[in-house]
Amino acid sequence: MINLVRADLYKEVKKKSFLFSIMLIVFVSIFSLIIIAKNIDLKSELNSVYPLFSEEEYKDVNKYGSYLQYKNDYDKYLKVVNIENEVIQKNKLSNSHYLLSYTHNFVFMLGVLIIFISFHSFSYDFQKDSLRYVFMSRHSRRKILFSKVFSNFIISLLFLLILLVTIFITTSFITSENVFLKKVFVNINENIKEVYVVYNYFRISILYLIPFLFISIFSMFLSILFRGNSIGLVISGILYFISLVVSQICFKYGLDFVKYTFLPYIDFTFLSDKVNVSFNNLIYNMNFSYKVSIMFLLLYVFLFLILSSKLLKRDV
Amino acid sequence: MYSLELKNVTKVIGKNLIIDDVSFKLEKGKIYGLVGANGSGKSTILKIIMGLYSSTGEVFINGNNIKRSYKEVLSCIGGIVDYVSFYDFLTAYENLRYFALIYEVPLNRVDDVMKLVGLVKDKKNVKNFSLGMKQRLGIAIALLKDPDILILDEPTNGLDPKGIVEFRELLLSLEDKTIIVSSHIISEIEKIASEILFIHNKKIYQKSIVSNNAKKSVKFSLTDYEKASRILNVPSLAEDKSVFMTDEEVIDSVNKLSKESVGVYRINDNNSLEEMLISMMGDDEK
Repeated sequence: MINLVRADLYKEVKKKSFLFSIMLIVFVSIFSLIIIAKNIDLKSELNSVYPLFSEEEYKDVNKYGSYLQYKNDYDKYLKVVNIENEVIQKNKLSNSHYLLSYTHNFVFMLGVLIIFISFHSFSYDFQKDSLRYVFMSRHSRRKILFSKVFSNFIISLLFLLILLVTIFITTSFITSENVFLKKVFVNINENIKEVYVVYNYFRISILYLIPFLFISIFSMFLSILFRGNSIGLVISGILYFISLVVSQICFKYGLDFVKYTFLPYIDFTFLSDKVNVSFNNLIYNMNFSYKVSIMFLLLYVFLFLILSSKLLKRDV
Repeated sequence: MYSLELKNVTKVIGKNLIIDDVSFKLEKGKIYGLVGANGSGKSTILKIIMGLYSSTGEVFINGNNIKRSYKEVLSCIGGIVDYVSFYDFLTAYENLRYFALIYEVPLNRVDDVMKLVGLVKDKKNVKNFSLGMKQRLGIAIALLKDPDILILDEPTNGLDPKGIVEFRELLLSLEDKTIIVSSHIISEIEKIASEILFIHNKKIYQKSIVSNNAKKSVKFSLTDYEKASRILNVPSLAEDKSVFMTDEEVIDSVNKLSKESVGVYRINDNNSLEEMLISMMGDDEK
């Protein structure tokens, strides 16, 4: 298994697209940070509080939810808003922390490269028929699948680390604050704690490895299903970007079954805004959190691994 | 124990029966030629042996069933099948290094096989290789595991005449390996194989090529074919028809016909593999 992973990494690193991806991560993140810093006022604003909806207003948003439940949960929402506003007030002077809060989308965008690399880890072999020479090794096809998953995970981790280092260094230059020494107050499990900016950002970003793992396996599954046809790549890409919008539309029209799919749980940028999450949980009577999202995504990771493993048993 | 044995192997793809109840046994250290028309199922049989296609029936490699001892079996098979295409963004050395890691063979084996097939360690990516160079790389990858059984599907495709001669010499230099070479160029197979496996009508026919007792395709030019047919007990004897006989049988037939006053004024001893296969098919279909 270790040799399989080594072989996969050896092959991936030799690709020109690997070097291109790293350069893309560095340059796009530097460029985007400069643009963001020029166009925003580096001062935090307090979150506004949505007033308690009347029963009619609530029914307009959530056709099937219980109004009584909504009223009971409203206090929880208020508590979250208050804590977050307290955190903002305490961090008034931390420009770097404020600028960094705009960059969670960068981590999400990294998923595009991971989809591309994961899809091509099988599609190239299917298109060039080189997969049969890999299958002629003494390793089972399941082991070969796992080794590709593992090597793609290592690449995801590497890309994430490169992105974070680039973001931290660039933010330090732009804000003239040494981001590695800067401390901020953050809301961790409804407790306000003072932590290093870098630690806090890393703590949130590292969780993205779960959606990366999911989207990597999902792209590989589609690559195997369509035998390398790029239709799989298009489906993975579209689903990755519109998953949250689709699920919110479904919730709005009372199509609650969507909460059992992977769609509402892929985009972790949504979860980084605690006030927004709390508001959505309130009006849609949901329970969005990192914990629930990770649980659902890991469940689907397991499911798509089994399906991919079954599909790989086909003739090649 | 045979090096390779197929027992009642049948393969259906979709609704098409590709090969039907095929059985044959191959001995260790011999070179076998697999011939047949395009689409006759040559590649399918090779892929079944290589564990790439599932099938009904049983495949034994060195006595191990491919379905039950997958690891052991695949450790001793190497081969190329269909169009050879590897990672064209890597050099030949890098491709071999990648497969050396996958096949779990020592890295110094890469240098050995490169030398064996005449590849040099340079910075040229495989995408800039000629078809012949890609074939060499394919053979090198097939040899990486130092397999007991080597399977080569259309290996001389794209090779120039010099390359074909070098390839032939390379195959003949490989000792103690059972080699199956599939090709539609029968004259090439004749030069390297000691036995042929001929696929026709979804079945396989196994015949020796160089045996002294091998039957040859023979055409008789006679004065009286009806009489000759009765004397030799060969119902199909005619001016344009070949019969299948050993050298001894031809001499014996000429003696018999002379005794019965049937004039024999020409014998065409057509010993090509093509003729032999056509004759074989004629005999089998009767």
